[in-house]
Amino acid sequence: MDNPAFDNSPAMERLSAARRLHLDPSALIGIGAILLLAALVVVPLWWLFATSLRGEEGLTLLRYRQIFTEPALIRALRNSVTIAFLAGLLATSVGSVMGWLVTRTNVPLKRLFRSLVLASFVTPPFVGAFAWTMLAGPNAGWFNHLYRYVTGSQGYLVNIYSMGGVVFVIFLYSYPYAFTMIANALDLISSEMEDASAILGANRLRTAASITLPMAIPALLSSFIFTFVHALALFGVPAILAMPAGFHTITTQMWVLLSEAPQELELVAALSVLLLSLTVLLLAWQKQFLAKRSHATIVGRGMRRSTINLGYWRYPAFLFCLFVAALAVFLPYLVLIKAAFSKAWAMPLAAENLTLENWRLAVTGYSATGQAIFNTLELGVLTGTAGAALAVVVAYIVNRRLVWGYRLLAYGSVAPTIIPGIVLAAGLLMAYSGPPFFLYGTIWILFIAYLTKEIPVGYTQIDATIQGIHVELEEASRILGANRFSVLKDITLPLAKDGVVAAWLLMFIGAVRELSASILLYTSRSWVLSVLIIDLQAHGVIEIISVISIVMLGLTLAMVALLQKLARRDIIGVHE
Amino acid sequence: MLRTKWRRVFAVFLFVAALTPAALRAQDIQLEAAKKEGRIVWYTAMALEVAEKVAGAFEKAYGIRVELTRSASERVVARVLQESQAGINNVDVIEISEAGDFTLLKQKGLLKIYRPKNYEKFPDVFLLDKQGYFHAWRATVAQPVFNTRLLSTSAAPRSWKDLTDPRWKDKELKVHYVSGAGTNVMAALTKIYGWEFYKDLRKNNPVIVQAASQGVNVIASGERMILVEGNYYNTMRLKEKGNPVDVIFPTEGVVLVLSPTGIAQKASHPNAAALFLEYMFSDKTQQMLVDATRLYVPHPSAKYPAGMPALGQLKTLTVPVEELAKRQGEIKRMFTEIFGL
Repeated sequence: MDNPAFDNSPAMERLSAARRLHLDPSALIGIGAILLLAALVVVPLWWLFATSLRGEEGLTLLRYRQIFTEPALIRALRNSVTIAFLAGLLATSVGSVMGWLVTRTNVPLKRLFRSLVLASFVTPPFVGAFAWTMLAGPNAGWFNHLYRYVTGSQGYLVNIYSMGGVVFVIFLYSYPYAFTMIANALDLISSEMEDASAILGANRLRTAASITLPMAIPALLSSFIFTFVHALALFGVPAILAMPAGFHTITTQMWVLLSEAPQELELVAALSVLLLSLTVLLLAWQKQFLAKRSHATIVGRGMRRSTINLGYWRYPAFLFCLFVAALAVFLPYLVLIKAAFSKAWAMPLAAENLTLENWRLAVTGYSATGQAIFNTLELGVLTGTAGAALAVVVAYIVNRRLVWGYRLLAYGSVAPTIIPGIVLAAGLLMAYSGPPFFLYGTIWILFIAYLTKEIPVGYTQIDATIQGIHVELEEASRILGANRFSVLKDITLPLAKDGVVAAWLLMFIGAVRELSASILLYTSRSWVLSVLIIDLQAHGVIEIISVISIVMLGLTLAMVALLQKLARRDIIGVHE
Repeated sequence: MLRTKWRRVFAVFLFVAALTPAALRAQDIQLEAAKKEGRIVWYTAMALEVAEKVAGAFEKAYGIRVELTRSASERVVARVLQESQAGINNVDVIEISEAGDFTLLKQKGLLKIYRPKNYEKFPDVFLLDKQGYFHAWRATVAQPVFNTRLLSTSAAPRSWKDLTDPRWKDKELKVHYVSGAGTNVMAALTKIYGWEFYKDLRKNNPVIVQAASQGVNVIASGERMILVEGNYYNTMRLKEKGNPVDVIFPTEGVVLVLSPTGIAQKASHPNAAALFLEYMFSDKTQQMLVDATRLYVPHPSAKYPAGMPALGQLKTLTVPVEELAKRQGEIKRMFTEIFGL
């Protein structure tokens, strides 16, 4: 949202125009930040593009043709799109129903459900996928045990190693996005129209279907596209669930092309460009579609909103929310905890099966664990700190319009959202494993990847914070002779402190759970926890992986708790 | 007569006496240099727990740190190639379970000649490369493995061919070609049955795992009943811990899987790497390997525990290194065609 102080005042505009020419120390920092941002986003994408056209001699489009003629690649693409479509659909429907129930109706224990949505949001999808192999593996999975016990059948009820399994797990950990988007949108929709509908005699269902739903369509579409794009980019879930079932998605296929000899860099680059173009096209279409619909009825915050009384339907609605939460949080956490303390995870919970040995072994028996914990924390702190600093500078420049083309800068800051992690990593691999930059083999290449991926998160958070700070205070300070740097340091930052801390923690959490870029960039000298989980997965030490997953979840949840306390609100942006 | 004999003995004695201090000195120098290097980087495809044990014992003996990375054979090789292309000389010692891949590394000039002590005494089958670029320091046999709680020994399949029986639909696990066990078995069985065997196996919907060690763990958990390409040492390790797993000796024979080891040409810690290799091939380490893991080793003095079949008595299907190297492309292509990955 633009700051009205600037919009309405041509004098102010002139003032800031004059200021642009005046260089003070902050200008250097500003220019540095802009160049850094450009380098982060442009360098890997340029390398991908150039590599995708690299032929034996000169340029070639051969790789692009290969994608559409090689059956294995077509299959992988088709699988990815199918999975993303179904997972997006499921996440949007369930997430929006829950979002509506929790924000607009009198379903019991709303607060609890918000926390549970938050818990599903911060659970890394690959940890969820791993836990679900123990819950719904066709033979040893809890559900199938139960099914055989109850029915006496020899078969199985559900098989997590399947297309359906992949869709299901991705849905479980992406419905919070839809929940948040819908909840935020509903916050902005006045309930006057709904009230009018009710006064005119429509029942609740009719009102919901003919008033609320149409007004929520843009938000529904946005959340579908967001979850679709998110699902398309995931690596861990298909690596754990799809590959054992004998099929690839585009991300696992790219990983295989790079992790087996000979490496197919050019082909991976072409696939990356394709994946990226697909994402950009989708978002462009969404923007165009939304531009056509404007809702004068979406009036902004502060509206009176009535709570819809569900009557007896409260209880089924409550059970529905509880059911989703159980699938995403309760059951997976439970099975992880059980496995972490068991000698053999599939054995019954009995005294002779209990042990602390896994915890000792996870730390002492696997030399990579200590390094992975250290690296993960280090990268989290570095990403949070560098990311917050960069985001503060960029958001400040954008909000105060300090440079020509500040809008471009704003776009640049959120652009990495649409770059799938594995695509970004492939680009970085090409850019930084040869002269003049030898970063592959160090944790710095991971740092660059994490910083690039997390900048949008930090920027969005800090941008919102700076928007909320009135420019008058800064102007006063400037008039009294302070330069821009000291204004930023003494006035803006102290006021924005909470927002900056929140951004730091969000980026830290993002870095801790990052997998799809790390899987291409790690080496034996730069282990991180997420990669360790996938690596040990291929080794089958389920109890040890459970221990490491719990450590990772504990780390994340502790940060979230800290964040909630500091920011005094939900980090996924839903206000009470 | 007697005098000449004694003279000869004396000469030999003198010769040995003259040599020993020099040899010792050379060893001391090497040890000193190795200690100065301080660490080695070991990429291995062996079960992580066992590799950690070997690394830990070496660290304790010499105070030289071993940084190890465990991956499936094929991925180890890909990583070595990728790093060499990027000009990164991270790895010192490479050890996988697929000899064909080592031929590729040798052709690319990424290996260094190294012959451990007692080299001449090792059985021929372990000496994989005549020029001395790589040798097997361990071997195991690949064979089907089953869960003894879900399946009685009498009901278990008796041959590789039995594994294609529709009875085992949705109950089997198959190892991917990135694993040495996977590639070796596929190379051996297609020589007998052709790819038809795997097309039939596909009809049983096997779940695909990345490594034999992972497969055995899955069988132990009861998630699946039969692992097509299990291996003896991983199964015995879990069986002796009380897990319900056992091996099958198929009528066609078991497949011998040799694990080549070599030093990287551009190793950053060449002395420590040589010391580590010497350590790996020493009779003490090799005996430890046998005792702790039920692997077969090249050292002729190794004593195998009762109950472990002698390698010579087993009916084995062995695929020569050159053939493995030559058929790699075919195996990958056919596997992907049949199993979809």
